[in-house]
Amino acid sequence: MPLYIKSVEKLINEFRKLPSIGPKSARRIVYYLLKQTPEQVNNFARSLIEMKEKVRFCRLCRNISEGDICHICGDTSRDHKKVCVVEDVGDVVLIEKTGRYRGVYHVLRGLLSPIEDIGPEELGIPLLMERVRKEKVDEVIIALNPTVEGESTAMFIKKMLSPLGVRTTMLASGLPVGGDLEYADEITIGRAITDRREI
Amino acid sequence: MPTYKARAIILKNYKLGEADRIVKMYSDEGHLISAVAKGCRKTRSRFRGRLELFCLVDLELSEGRNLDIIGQAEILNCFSDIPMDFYRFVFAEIISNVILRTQQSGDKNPSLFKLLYVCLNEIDKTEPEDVIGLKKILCFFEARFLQVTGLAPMLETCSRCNKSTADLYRLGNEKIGFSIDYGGVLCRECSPATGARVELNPSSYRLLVDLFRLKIEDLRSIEIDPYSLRKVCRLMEDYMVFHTYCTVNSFKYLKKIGI
Ligand SMILES: [Zn+2]
Ligand SMILES: [Zn+2]
Repeated sequence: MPLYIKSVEKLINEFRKLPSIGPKSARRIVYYLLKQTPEQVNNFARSLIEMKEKVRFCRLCRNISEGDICHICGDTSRDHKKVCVVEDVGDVVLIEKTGRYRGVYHVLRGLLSPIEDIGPEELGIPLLMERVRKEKVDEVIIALNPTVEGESTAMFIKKMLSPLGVRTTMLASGLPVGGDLEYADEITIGRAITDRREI
Repeated sequence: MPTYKARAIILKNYKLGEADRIVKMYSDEGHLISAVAKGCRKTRSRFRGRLELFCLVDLELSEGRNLDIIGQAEILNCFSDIPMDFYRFVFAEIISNVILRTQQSGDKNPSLFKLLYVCLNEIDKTEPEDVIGLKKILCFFEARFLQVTGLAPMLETCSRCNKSTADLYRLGNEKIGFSIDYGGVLCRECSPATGARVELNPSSYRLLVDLFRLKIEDLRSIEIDPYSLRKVCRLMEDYMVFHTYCTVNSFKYLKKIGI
């Protein structure tokens, strides 16, 4: 005999596919939904579908957008001569939250990977180059994770941009605020020494 | 939970949940290990920077229900120049991929670990954008991979009739047949009679033989024309795919990035 009725089991399995949701949490969510009014569940389902129907990717920067162009690219008060390259949509939000950046973005939505067969086309790198050329961008800030994969992708972008004569910078990588030198790894300490600045 | 120690090279990292990673690595005892590093994506994690790709690390692991769990990690060598050049990264990934796709968790092959280490070390030392140098290393890796996994092609005797073919290396100014199906070179008599064969010119043939007998540092200094290098690289890869049933297609990716 099956443990759950079919429709419940089907929904549990759908939730289990979501990131960081295990079987226990999936069951908990489904029980919660069972207790809700039909209207509440309807709202939930409708927002899922609406999100998928409405969200597109900006044709200039590949960020999520409801129109052809996202709200950042469409904002004329921003500095369109600075482009910040990030790995994912979520990174845009992180940088926006700092309130320190007024330029535009290019969202790769992944990193270069021979193992996963992800090349420059898949990350819109030709699109970035076209933007730099057309808009006469004066600085590209590469804000990728300081991992082997992130750095290799950064190196490739830098190499592709160098004939265009645009200034290319990378986020400083060093010791975390509140961190202790003793607990930092060798690579981080090495990097912090190389990227040291005048005080 | 029982714990154990391992020395291994990191081949692949996958994100798991909010802050964890699954780490796939190859140990000096020649095992493929998959383990979880809990919380390692947090900026203040004690693993931060210690479980990066291609690093050689000393680990303490505990046996888990499904996957083992990493308790401690110490870097021995991190080949930190690999990510400083995109092409170095690509070739290091291709080599890692061969191991990931051909080795099972039960296999044991310490020689393969040594080969991996030697090749990553060599990649780390190549000049930036030295594509020829990197292709030589890939060729070397693929040839020696076949050797340490017991799949080396026959180069001294004909793979079809077993007759010695030693004279081909010395004299050769003719094309030499190679059969992937039979598993090696073909003598003058068998070559025309074998349908699906690759024809090697003398310099490609010599490179093929050298790959199996030279040390990597000797290979570094010998001049190889790009045609032969490409031909032999392709042959080694096709041969490997045919005899291991794994799917590796480095040429497709190299074309994608324009090299
Ligand atoms: Zn946009
Ligand atoms: Zn023969």
